[in-house]
Amino acid sequence: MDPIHGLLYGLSRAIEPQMLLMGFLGCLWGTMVGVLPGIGPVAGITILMPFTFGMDLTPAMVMMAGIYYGAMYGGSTTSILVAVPGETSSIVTILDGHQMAKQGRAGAALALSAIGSFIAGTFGILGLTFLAPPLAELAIGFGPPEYFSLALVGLSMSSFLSNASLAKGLAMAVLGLIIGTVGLDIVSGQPRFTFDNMELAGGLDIVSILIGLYGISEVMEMMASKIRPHVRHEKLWNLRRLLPNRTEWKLSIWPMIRGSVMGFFVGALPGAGGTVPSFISYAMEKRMSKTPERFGKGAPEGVAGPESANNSGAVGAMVVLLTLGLPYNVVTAIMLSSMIAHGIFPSPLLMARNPEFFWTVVASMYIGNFLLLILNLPLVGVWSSLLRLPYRWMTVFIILFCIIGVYSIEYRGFDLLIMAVFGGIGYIMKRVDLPAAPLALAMVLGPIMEKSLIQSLIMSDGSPLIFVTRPFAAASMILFFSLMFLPLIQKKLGRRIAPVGEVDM
Amino acid sequence: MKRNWLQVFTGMLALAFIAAFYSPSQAAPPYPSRDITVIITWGAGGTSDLSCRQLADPMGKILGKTIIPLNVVGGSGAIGMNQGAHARADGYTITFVTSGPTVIQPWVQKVTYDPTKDFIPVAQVFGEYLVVVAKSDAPYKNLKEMADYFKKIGKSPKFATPGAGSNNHLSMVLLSKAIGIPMTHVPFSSSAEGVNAVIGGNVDIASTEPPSAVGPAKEGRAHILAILSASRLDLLREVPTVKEQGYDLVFGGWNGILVPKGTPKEVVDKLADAAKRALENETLIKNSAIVGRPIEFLSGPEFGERIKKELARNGEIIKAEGLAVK
Repeated sequence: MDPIHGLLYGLSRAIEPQMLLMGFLGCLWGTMVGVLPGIGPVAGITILMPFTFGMDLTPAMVMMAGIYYGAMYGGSTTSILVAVPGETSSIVTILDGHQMAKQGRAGAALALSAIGSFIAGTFGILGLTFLAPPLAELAIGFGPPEYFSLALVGLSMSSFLSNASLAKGLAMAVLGLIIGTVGLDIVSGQPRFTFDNMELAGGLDIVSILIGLYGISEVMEMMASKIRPHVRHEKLWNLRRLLPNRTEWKLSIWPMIRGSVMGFFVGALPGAGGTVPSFISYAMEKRMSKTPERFGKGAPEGVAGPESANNSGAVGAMVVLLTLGLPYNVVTAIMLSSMIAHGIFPSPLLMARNPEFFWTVVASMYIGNFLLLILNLPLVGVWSSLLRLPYRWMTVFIILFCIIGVYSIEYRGFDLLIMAVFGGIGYIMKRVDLPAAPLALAMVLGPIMEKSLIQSLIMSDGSPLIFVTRPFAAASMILFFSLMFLPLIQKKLGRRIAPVGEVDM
Repeated sequence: MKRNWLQVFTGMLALAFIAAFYSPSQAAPPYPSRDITVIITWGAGGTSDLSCRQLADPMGKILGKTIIPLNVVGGSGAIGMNQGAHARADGYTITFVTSGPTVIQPWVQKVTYDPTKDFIPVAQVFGEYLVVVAKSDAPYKNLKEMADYFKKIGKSPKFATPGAGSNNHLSMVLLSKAIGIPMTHVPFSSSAEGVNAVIGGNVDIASTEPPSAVGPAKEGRAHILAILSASRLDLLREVPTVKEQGYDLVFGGWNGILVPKGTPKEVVDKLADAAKRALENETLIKNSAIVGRPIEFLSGPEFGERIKKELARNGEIIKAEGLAVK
């Protein structure tokens, strides 16, 4: 079946009542899961699993896909409203989204995020329809040296993630790298920074750290500012105009498009998912902006770009899931094991070998994407009105959500401890004005970087030349060095082009 | 204070009185009287998780209660094992174990459980076998050709595994000895990643569970050199065993059920019986074949023997490889 016929066939299946219902339930549940930070996406899907053993795989998969991208849609809501990231891919949304909410533009930020997600989702699905097999080929050629060099480029973006000084940003990035090494060393299996504690041997759960670092510390800040009432108190919840205004639109449309395209291709790299694209998009928009100083203070581009990128990235991740069998989070891992339990093995030839399955799932994603827009836009008003809650209630609810969210990741009390500790650290960081985003980025990229560095050097028998003899790796290395040293050279020459954060702060 | 003692004494008398008139089976409701939790030491979505859920469903139906899977993740399975070992010994918390945290992790990290002393083995349920995968255009199609090829070019093949100290890693160490060539370990994070590294030409071979190899093998991108089981697997009829190729090596992992020590014998027997009967379930038989974990039942004592034997064997390999915890 060629893509057009396949898609038409898929659509005819996807609008059958059973499929529609499954898709709708999945989207609804996914949105709820996304909005309540971390609440049981895993539990929600695993409960379905025994039920899918006896059931037809296609409707089950349609539902799980609905949960997956529904959660992506909803995940940004809490980031914007209360600075609690539901998952790693909505961290950067906090930077400007939450600032917009504080300035009374919560509705606009939510709407931009929903519309950006829709555009990106549609683009991603188009990509999945027409580009899945060639992308799978590309992803297979991507080995450890390519990952290492790409992670290095990613890490150099940490300087774009905050308006703090370069030294502060670097310090936080290094701290993130150190936190990322906690656990068992991948080559020798030796424990590092574990203090003979088995819980630490498994490494620190990144979502627990993030919820602590952002969510808990935000609550502490709220409580601290309640003692000394803040001026922003009155202006804060002004929500008369819910939708983005003309300026916000104008600023956001290109970031949405750029985020959608870039997000899909980066998301199609195994392991990138929606998180890495969201960071890249933020850095990219800030770099391209004529007024980068607005970033971190409620720039709509800083919401629209990353939110689009993480959604098309999530669809891109479906490419590697369906063709190479590489899941990037628990939800996709469960989709994979359900497929395998039904004897459908991931393969670049999946669309030829199981066209019924492949096209129905893809077509249901188009429909799901519409359903989500319809579900989410009217909810913008509902969510933003939650901000009218008085502080004292709000803080209680945020803490409650944080606790349930963290606990439901893996049902470990230890994660709650981690969240609390990092809540305290996050608060201190806020007080002394240390940026959290570079830390988060380094924590995400650090383990990937270390692993791929070791793998590359084993592959090359210890020769670092492997990073320059492979074309993609070499190109990334050049990009990295020019990103790092160009600003310095420019400064030396006294030639200041655009006010870029790392030069003049 | 005195009154307290008196109360306790009267209470005990009363209990003794009651006990004298009731037979034990009436005193406690027959097992199981409520739902049972089964700890899985791996995350949702993995093959172990899938196998456990496939078993829990029919087993619960046989016992007349639901068996609820609980993923207790971390420390390469050690966290779940610890929780399973120190759970109440009443049969309402059982542990679905894989070989890693039972017979490997105690050597690799400091664990807070003793796999032989803290548990009573109930039954082994599935076998777990590994295959060795090469790129389909590699200049060798079996182990002997591979050994000859690398001897000729004077290099050692690089092999991918899902991590240091994994079953896969140990099996490759043994395979390297069996076929007589040195090999270099490249750790990845999952079997599927390893297979893709082989297809992408980044490593020479990979040790993987069958499901990750089936897809690429079917479409001719990868070639399965051998399976480390005693006999061929239904899922991979065309793949010869290592033994068939003339090398003396059978290496397999397994899945089984353990309960904390001190669990009453009748509870252990009931669970063992339910597990055995669940393995006759047709859906389960079909599904376990698809995921490449064939049903291999061992009774509690037999399973216990196997654990002891493999624990000792792995200790030697791990120490020799310098992976042991210091």
